[in-house]
Amino acid sequence: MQPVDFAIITALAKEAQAVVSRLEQPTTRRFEAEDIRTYHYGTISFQAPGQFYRVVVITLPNMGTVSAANAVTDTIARWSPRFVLMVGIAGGIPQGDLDLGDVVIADQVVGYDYGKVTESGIQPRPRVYPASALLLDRIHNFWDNAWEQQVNVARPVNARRPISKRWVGPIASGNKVIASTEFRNQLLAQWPKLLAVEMEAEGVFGAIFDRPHIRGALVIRGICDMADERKSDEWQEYAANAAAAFVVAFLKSSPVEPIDASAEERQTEPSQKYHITINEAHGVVIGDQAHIVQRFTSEPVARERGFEVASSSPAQFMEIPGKTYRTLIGREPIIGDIIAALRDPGGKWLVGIDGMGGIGKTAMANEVIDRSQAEHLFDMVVWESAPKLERLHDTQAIGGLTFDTVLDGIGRQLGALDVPKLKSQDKEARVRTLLHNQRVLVVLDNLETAHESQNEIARRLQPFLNPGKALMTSRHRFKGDVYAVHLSGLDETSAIRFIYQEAEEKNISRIKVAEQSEFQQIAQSTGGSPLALKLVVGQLGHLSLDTVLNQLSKIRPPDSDTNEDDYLLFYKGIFFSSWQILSDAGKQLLISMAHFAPGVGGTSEAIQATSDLANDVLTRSIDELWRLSFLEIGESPSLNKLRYYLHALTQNFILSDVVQILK
Amino acid sequence: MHVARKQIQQIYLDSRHRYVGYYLRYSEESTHLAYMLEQELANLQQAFHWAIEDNKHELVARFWEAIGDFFWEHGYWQNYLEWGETALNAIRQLGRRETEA
Ligand SMILES: Nc1ncnc2c1ncn2[C@@H]1O[C@H](COP(=O)(O)OP(=O)(O)OP(=O)(O)O)[C@@H](O)[C@H]1O
Ligand SMILES: [Mg+2]
Repeated sequence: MQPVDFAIITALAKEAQAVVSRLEQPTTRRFEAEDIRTYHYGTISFQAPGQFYRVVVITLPNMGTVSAANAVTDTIARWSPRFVLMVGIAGGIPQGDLDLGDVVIADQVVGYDYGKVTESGIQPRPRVYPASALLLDRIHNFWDNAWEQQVNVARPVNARRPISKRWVGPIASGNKVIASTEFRNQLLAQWPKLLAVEMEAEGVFGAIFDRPHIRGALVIRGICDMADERKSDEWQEYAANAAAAFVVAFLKSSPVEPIDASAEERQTEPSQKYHITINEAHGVVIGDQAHIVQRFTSEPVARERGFEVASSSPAQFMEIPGKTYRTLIGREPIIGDIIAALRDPGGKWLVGIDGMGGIGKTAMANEVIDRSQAEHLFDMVVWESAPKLERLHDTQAIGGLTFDTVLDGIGRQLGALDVPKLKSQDKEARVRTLLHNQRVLVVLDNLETAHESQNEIARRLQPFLNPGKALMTSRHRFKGDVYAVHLSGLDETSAIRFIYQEAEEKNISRIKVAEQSEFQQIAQSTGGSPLALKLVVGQLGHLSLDTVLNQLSKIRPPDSDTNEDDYLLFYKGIFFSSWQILSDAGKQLLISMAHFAPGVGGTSEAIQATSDLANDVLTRSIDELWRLSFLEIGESPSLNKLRYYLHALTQNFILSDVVQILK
Repeated sequence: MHVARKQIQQIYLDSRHRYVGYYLRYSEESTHLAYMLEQELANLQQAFHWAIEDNKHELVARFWEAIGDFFWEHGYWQNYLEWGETALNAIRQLGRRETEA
């Protein structure tokens, strides 16, 4: 039989009808001797004439993941589809203005049914399946919104918006009809970016796993209720039609090469070989979750083009701070060494990065995560930061980092919310199990501010790690059984490359007239500290090269980067020059920003409320602070919003040298 | 114009007040939305801490009302223990003031 380009799986008759009614030359095929299915076979022509996809549509006898996995197995055996699409309706999760009738495309599917039954109850162990990266890419590049007009059933009158929108984000899948706000919120707590819940996708992904001819699957769902107590059928027809309209419009845009009909028929494998039983299908080890955590590079692009994109990294990674650099400069050999150490099963379990503030430890930890994820070194990454600012408060600050709270954080981020409540022996046993069952990279940032000695924390953590590893950063040197990397400033060549990159990003042209010797001078007097270099480049947006160099000549790079007072003084000098450039509104904003947790910051609403600046002034001041490198801008990990934040050293400058309130 | 020292202090204190107010409102609006609270946890902790330190009993009580359950349910046990106590005291103080009035 001629293989098809797409197999479209639906759960309900009305979902199948909505798709089949849009096919060209639909015919019905049955193979009663071999399976129970009815296949609706047809084609979908491209907008540009002459070419088309072959498509087969089926609907399931029952809802649920088992039924879906069985049906997909049959369909694969008969039609050898290149891609499998799950199309239909789903319960929505209130995120932004997501509404009934909207269409959700899953960038990953979370199988929430799995868990481990223990004495203390069921521990959820969700499985995560990534959508076809190829199709997702095409979705992100499919900008035509005409599909909204092609929904051909009446829109119920209780709509809040006149037309449907499309969304991209995670979908939860499992064998439960969800009509409970409470359960919905439980899922949300674990997967904050969740857009929808449904009952089949997990079976589809389970069944296609490891099939050599299948290039991947994608789930497209119209929202028919909000998975809460108000669940009703009123929107089902419309939502099913919207999903079908979207899918067919998408396929008409010819997102991938069709199978060449004149080419030799692909060899269809004998059906027995494919006929894994459902238990086997569910027993398939999803070995490759790791790459899901790679940050989704096409996301900002998609958003820039006006698409609603819910961020794609699952809850476990939400505590990883956003990247503050575009490309990490001058650290290649060190990163290579660190990755090698993490890769080596016989190597040290702990890797420690130390160096003075602003030298790039956190940035490097971020980069190491990205690289190790690209290599699939770990299944999960958990990130714990010791809070930086404690000197601010009279009462003992909360959330100080200790070995005990490190265990809490690991448990929490791995979804075991009861861990923090356990007594220390039980807690240790529990975390040990969690860490033995998967390869986890435990990242501990800012250990210099921990409430216990960093070397003691490291020593106690070590026996928990295998098969995982730990990556730690601190302003203080690591001792003990740690693969320790000491970061110092960028060398001259890298510093100059850094200056160019910064100047280009911030559109600072004065750098073009600088001579080699002047670059060298900047590199030397900043000691190659990336943070200092950033600030100096920012100053060049306002001041002449001579003035900046003159100011720099009065500042000495710290003699020893282990003496905190020494380098705080050094940064103070540089910060002060930048501070003096600021407008009054810029100063007001910067002081207001110092309340926010460094590296976390706030959304524009939070900053506006705190600074009390009028909208246009705020926009101008943000730009001013960003150009001077007082402020970093990043994406909020799970809300669809930008965040603005200060570096810990910037906050320290404002609080101790400007406001002078630090104790 | 130069922002004078006194002015700087004023800006700092005023904005801190607004910061605490913003995150109090935020926590009240997001009470049942764990992911919203999680997202701003570091700021909520900071704001809560200011409320405690400035002895703003009413704010402390409201904060606790809005995020206490979240701490309990989502594995922020440490926060739950440390702040539950403080919040309870604040609520008692409030009660005392009300009975006195
Ligand atoms: N090699 C690099 N290339 C480009 N940017 C860098 C590099 N190293 C650091 N940066 C940038 O410099 C700034 C300071 O780096 P980072 O925050 O990582 O310092 P840190 O050592 O973690 O400081 P702290 O001790 O205060 O936590 C950040 O904005 C970071 O993105
Ligand atoms: Mg850091």
